[in-house]
Amino acid sequence: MSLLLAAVAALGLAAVAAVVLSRRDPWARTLAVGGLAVAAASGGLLASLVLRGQAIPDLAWAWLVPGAVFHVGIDPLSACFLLLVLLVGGCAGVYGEGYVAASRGRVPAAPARFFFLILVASMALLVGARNALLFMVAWETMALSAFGLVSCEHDKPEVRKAGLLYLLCTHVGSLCLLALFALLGHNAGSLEFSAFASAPPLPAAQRTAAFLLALIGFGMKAGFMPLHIWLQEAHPAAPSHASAAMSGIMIEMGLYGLLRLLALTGPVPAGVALLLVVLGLASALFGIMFAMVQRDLKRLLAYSSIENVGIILTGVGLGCYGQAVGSPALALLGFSGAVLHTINHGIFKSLLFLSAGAFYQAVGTRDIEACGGLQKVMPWTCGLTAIGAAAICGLPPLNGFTGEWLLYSWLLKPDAGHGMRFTALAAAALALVGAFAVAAFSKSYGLACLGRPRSEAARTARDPSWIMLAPMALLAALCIAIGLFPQPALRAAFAAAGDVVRSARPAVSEGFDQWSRPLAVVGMLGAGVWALGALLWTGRGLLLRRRDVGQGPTWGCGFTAGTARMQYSGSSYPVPTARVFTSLIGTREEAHAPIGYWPAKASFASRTPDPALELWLPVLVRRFESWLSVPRRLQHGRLQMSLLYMSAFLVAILLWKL
Amino acid sequence: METLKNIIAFLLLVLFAPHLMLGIIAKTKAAVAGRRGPPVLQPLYDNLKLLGKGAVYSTTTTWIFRLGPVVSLSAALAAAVLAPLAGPALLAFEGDAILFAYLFALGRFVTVLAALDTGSSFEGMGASREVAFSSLAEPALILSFAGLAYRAGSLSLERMFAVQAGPSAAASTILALGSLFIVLLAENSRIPVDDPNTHLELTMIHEVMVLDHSGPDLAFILYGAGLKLALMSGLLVRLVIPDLPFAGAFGSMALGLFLMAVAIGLVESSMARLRLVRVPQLLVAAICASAFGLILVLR
Repeated sequence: MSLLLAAVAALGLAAVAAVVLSRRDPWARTLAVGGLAVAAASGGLLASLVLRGQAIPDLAWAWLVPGAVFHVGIDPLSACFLLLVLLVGGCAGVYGEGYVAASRGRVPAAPARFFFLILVASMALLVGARNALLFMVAWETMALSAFGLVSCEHDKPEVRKAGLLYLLCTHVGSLCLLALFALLGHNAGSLEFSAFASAPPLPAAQRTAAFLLALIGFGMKAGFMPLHIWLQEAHPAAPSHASAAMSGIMIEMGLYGLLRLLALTGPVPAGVALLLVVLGLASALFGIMFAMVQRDLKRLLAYSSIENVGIILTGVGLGCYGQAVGSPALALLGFSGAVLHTINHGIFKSLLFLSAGAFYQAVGTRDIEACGGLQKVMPWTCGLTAIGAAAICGLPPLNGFTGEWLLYSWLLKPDAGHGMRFTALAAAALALVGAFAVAAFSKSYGLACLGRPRSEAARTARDPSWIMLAPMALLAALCIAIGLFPQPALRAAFAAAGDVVRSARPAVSEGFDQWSRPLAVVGMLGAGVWALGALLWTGRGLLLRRRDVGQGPTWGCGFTAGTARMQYSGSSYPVPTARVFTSLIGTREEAHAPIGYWPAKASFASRTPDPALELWLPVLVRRFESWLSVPRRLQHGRLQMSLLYMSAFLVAILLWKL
Repeated sequence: METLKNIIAFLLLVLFAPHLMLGIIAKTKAAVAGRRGPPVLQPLYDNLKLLGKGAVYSTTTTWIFRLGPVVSLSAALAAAVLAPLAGPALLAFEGDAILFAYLFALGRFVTVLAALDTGSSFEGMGASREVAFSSLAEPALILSFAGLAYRAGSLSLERMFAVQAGPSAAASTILALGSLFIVLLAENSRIPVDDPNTHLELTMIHEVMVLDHSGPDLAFILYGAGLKLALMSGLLVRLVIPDLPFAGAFGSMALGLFLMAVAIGLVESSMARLRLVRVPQLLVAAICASAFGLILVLR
């Protein structure tokens, strides 16, 4: 257990050093990388011990805060997330050092480093917290340090806006969580997690309230639709290594919270489980549809995070459904699919955000329309991006497929026989999501990296330094490795799922044995694809060796003056797909076609408004504003008045208790 | 001995069925149009010739362009290992159907990337259309798979694609067959979704994506596309034609593939390509058919 504290302490010390040594950048940098390395080593060791089946005793210290105990513990569920936090955090942190240095002062070095280290430390503490107050402290530290990261480049107005939006959303979420823990704590008589687990079940009305509070509180962080309000604004605003950590691990903490709560409070009714599945699938579908039509590379990735969180939530819902119908095997399969996809998503999404940062730095814009042809000038970054893009589409020889395969196996399990008529439709929705993902990521990679450069900056771009490339290479290597050898990740996922389904301990190894065998064959066939590819590549080389291999312009159908502007663009590429689903996406087009024999200026613009920000949120906010106009008179913005209110409130409570 | 026979049948089918099917389709179309048409083995001759040729690469392209045909062919070959054609599949496990579907998605992904690598607006157009139509074909495919999996009680192609007796089985078979046949036409760029023979780049989908490939690369692509056609046809054949006593597993499969090629040829000769805006409607019809088939199974 002290290993976890050592990891948190190393990160915290490095964060302090980042502030104290802010004038001596090389020292602070070395300490930051060192802190991340120490944390990764100690945390990784601890997690691997736990995942091997070793039981680690909890650690509980009395704490000054009333009602709170500094109680940390670790089980496989925590270990999975801890490993992910330290892996992605470490990679993004090392990359961040290179990124911040290369930004030439645009990203302030000391605050970025400080907030990043605090963010990783708070998440490491969060997964170990075994007391509701400690959990909330870690949760709020995480939320606030992420705010600091989002607002790093606060000289830009849109960054300030995104930062405030994020802060508001995360506060709403935290408020819900506070209420949730108050509810649970009141019922259990203690704020210890172990007390929650052994407490009598809540009465029905409170149960519904607790569920809704958890859904909003954790959902706001995880960012599934329609609670994704802040996500697509904050991710593009943050520096890329911060977006990678936020998208790869921070939003996953919302899912961790949900899983932890399920582990503590036990099964939910089947209807609620179905609601989670429907929410997850809707989030996945809409997320990827909106991703497809984005031009901003990081915004596209942010929407795709919404999609992946949706897929994970679907898995959680399926696990809950399995629990509700009393089938531990199905419950384990659903939860382990969710955890496996979480691990995979953390890896490939952070890889893609890191590469998006490299493109941004090289080209100076996140607009796909200004990139193009980067594969020639940034071969390393683009090659790694290609792996990430294929992995996120869930394509076979890579890791993305393994988690999705588990979910498909759940949905199409023929002997389920629990009256689960919805499952085939859910599988079809998942297939639709997969196909859209291919559209979205063939667009993001294909149009940004392939073809001809669309701007001068794209022509002269260069690969970043090795300190930025190495973490990306590690993440890409993991994408390939988990795709080929899925068993270790699957074992971890099953162990974590076993923590959520408390009644199913004996079924864990059974379930693992049942699903690891076919998944091993999947990995084997993946190796076969690589080997066949290598063979065909060699064969092709041998065939071409003695032949003329010519070079020429791209075939232009007889037209020889094609320019880069004539290529398919980020806006036109998804049009055939988007047109079919236009009523769902709501893309608005404004076209002024050329008219007459001597046409004057013509133009075309299309825009896809975000459903939360432009549809339901304004309505809700207006409604709230009109309600709150009365109590607002109480608010003066003067400190004295606030203090007076507070003392009046305290006196009132005192009188009531007397 | 049985395994050896199985492997030989597999190799024969994988090596020759793709070319022969394309040849038979062309021959059928020629016969309907009153022409003699090229020899049935013409696609094989073409491919052998292409393998011996040099290649021309656009200066815009990178290694992604060269990788595309290689990966799409190796994905198709890997899918072939999973497909039960004559007798059992070489590799079968619970859930191989999903892997089968996703291997073709891998092939599509790299083909699309290779097309975008040329920086040509034609190929961009083809890529854009390909991802649009496949996004509708994919749910239809998975829904049909779901119906067949529930019916067979297994998510393995080998057991899903087998002849089942009984009136309700017949109805669900017909619906799955219809849906999968449309998916097959769409995924293999046949009329009415796409026209592999037209020389107007603006009207094509798959063919326009491979305009810039030449030499061995083009041979890989043509063979991979033929293999995909043969594999999907093979699955459909298994759904309707049992192992005939006089022909054995291999003979019945060969006969089935022949009939399938003739059927595709007849469809191609009897109708024109649909307008692009109509194609999604056809694919939605396929989704509906497979959904109805599913309802019949679940009832």
